[in-house]
Amino acid sequence: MQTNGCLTAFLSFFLRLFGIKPPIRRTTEMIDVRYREYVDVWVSESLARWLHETRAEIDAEQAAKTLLGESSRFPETAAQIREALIDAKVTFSQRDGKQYLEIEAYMAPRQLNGKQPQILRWHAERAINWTEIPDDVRESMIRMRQPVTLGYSIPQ
Amino acid sequence: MMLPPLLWLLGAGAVFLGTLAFWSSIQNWLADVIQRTRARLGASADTLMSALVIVDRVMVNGQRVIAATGRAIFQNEGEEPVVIEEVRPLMAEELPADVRARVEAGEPISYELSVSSMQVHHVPTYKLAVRRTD
Repeated sequence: MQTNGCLTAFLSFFLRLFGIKPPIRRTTEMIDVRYREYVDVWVSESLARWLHETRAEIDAEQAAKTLLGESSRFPETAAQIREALIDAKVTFSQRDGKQYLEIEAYMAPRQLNGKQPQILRWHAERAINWTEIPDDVRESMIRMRQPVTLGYSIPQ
Repeated sequence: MMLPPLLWLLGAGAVFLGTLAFWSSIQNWLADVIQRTRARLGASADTLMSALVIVDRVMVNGQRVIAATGRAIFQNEGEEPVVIEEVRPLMAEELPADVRARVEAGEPISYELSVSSMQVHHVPTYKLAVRRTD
């Protein structure tokens, strides 16, 4: 839960003087949710594509939907993903005045013929606008001045 | 010499628009400056960082609102909608009971499946119509 900023409180007070009760905070949060979804979709689609390449039996489209929170619709795919996806992390960084969104994932292909277990590392990076980065991540980037890494967990 | 108030307003507007347009670089530079002078600024550094975070929220949400408004105003003007029509015959028994009753009563049925206003990722709008053929 985020605390109210002083600017929001000031604007709300000022507008209430005129009898207007604007849901400023709710509006900015709703806008931020859209950008979170934008990041989530790219991450989920990348992971789904890699999952399909790691294990051909995993359907990329169903995997993307599962990773976007529809695991109850595809329980079998969700189980396959939990088996294949070992770890993933999403990193936002700044270099040379540009921002980048990076995803790194470790996946286990199906082991056959008693071979040694093998782990595949997948990696993708894309440039992202400052405005497309969610509010809390931008705040961390401003305060810490270093890349912000988020852990990834499969939505239940 | 005193500048007319309108000129001041225009100047302030130009500075604000410039700041809004190049906010990404400006915040990056400001945050770097605060970080480098942290030792000299002492406790004020944290206050300045918090102020920068607040200004960043205002600037970014302003840019997002402008972008969303621009999309809402100009999206429908320049783009021709893509219409794909698919007709699939169904047996009357395959329809849900309430839909079947309305079709048999001769009522036209259509459903609009809406999409989000922001359209960050492309989602088509679907219209589903059920008609009776004899």
